[in-house]
Amino acid sequence: MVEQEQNYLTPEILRQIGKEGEETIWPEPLDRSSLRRFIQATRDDNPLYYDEEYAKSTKYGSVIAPPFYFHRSFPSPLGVVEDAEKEEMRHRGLVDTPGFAKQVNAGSEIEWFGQVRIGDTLNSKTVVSNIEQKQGKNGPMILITYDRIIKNQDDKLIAITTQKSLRRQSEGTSLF
Amino acid sequence: MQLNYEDIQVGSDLPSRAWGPLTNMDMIRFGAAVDSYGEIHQDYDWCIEHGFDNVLLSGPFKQALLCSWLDEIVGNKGFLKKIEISHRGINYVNETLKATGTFSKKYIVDGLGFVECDIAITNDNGLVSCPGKAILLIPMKDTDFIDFNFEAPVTYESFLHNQISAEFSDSGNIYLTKEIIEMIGVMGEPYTWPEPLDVSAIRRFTQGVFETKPRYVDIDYAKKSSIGSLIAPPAYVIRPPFGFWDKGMLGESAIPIFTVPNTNVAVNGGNESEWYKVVKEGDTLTQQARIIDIYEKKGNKRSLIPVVSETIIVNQFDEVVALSKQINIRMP
Repeated sequence: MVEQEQNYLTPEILRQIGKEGEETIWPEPLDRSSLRRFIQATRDDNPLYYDEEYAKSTKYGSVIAPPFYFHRSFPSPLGVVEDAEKEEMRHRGLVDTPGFAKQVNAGSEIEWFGQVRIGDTLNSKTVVSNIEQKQGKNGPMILITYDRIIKNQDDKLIAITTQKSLRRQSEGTSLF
Repeated sequence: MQLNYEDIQVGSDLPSRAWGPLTNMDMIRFGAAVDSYGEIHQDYDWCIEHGFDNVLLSGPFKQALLCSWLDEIVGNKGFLKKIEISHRGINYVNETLKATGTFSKKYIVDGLGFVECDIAITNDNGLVSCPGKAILLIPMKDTDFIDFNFEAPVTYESFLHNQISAEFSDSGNIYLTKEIIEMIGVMGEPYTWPEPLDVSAIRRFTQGVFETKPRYVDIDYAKKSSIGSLIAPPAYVIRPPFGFWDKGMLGESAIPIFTVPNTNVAVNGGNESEWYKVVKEGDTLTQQARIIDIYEKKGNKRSLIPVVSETIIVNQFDEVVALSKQINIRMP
């Protein structure tokens, strides 16, 4: 006889499907030193991302940000220093799954619709699109799916992403 | 409230300020702001393997905290003119640092009020790690604004032509070989910031040192000020961002790079910096440095080989914005 799996998806957890996060916006328009740091960190030596002369000769006409750049965090604005907890909260604070606190990135799907250039200011809006229970080798897990829309200052669509996060059973709250 | 020159009592204490406990994250945030990723300030395992107790708080970080503290004391109209500190002890992450000081002297030059002070950083165990001195430019009561614009004692051109050299003598020192002594006087290549000073660079640096002074963080305030734009905090000017692709992946210092044989650790021994002009958003700085002294002395546990360098920092008009002397101590 197969043992019935316990259902951890309480109505309180499931009620969070459809929850919308606050709109986050870059603290300043994209500038060169931010772009430099990102491409140095990802060891990306495509001149399209830093060499203005080269970029002019391409169909893009100017330096653009690497596709994944929008995925950078949305840091606190000039003059504000947040502590680690608050910073983390802005990225994780949308869904509360008591008893399932340990979170890992389970993958993402991204589609791009436009480029990001120096001077652009992106904004991002996230909605919780699904919450489901999964059975892992080491026990039950909760899989959360977030849909995110990223637009620029002219309301032009830059990217749509679907991000999955897996939470394992562990004490504590997932809300920091 | 704006502190005025007339209010300063020589012998009285500066208002103190504490930071901490300072965490690994604080060190990483500062490291990212100044493009400095040395293991000694980031990597716990490396620090333990090299005989330290934990990750070290960096010298530029402590100096930048001191600069930010002094900058707060001089108020919105005042400026930090000069700082000189010596790194006498190691501070680790998880320590709380406290800055204290005493006004030691005041005088007026060309109608401007200068105030000298003795300063230090002390940790929770009472270790005094950054004793030093500073010169503050504090406005007189009737001053509307101070035009921070001074003539440096050297021009970029005279700095480049000033020759320094040392003769090697075999005095039994282990580390000071002829090749090492010949490094004295060697000038590094000019090193230009990879991009003009931009808002995100100022944001990262000010967040890295918990800076809230409006001239560095409030764009509207800065636009309405006599300067007309955001400016770089003084400590950022002397610790400019490292390089771009052609300068090496994770950067290159303006100070000539060389290895003292049989040493594998380098720590910051101290720094003396004086500022002459403000650095505005959009400015591009170039720095050039030369080695001016190398010597050897016995420490408690190991030999110390201080390498002294001087750096000139100029803007895009070749105007000197700061001069800086750095002691970098190599050790086995």
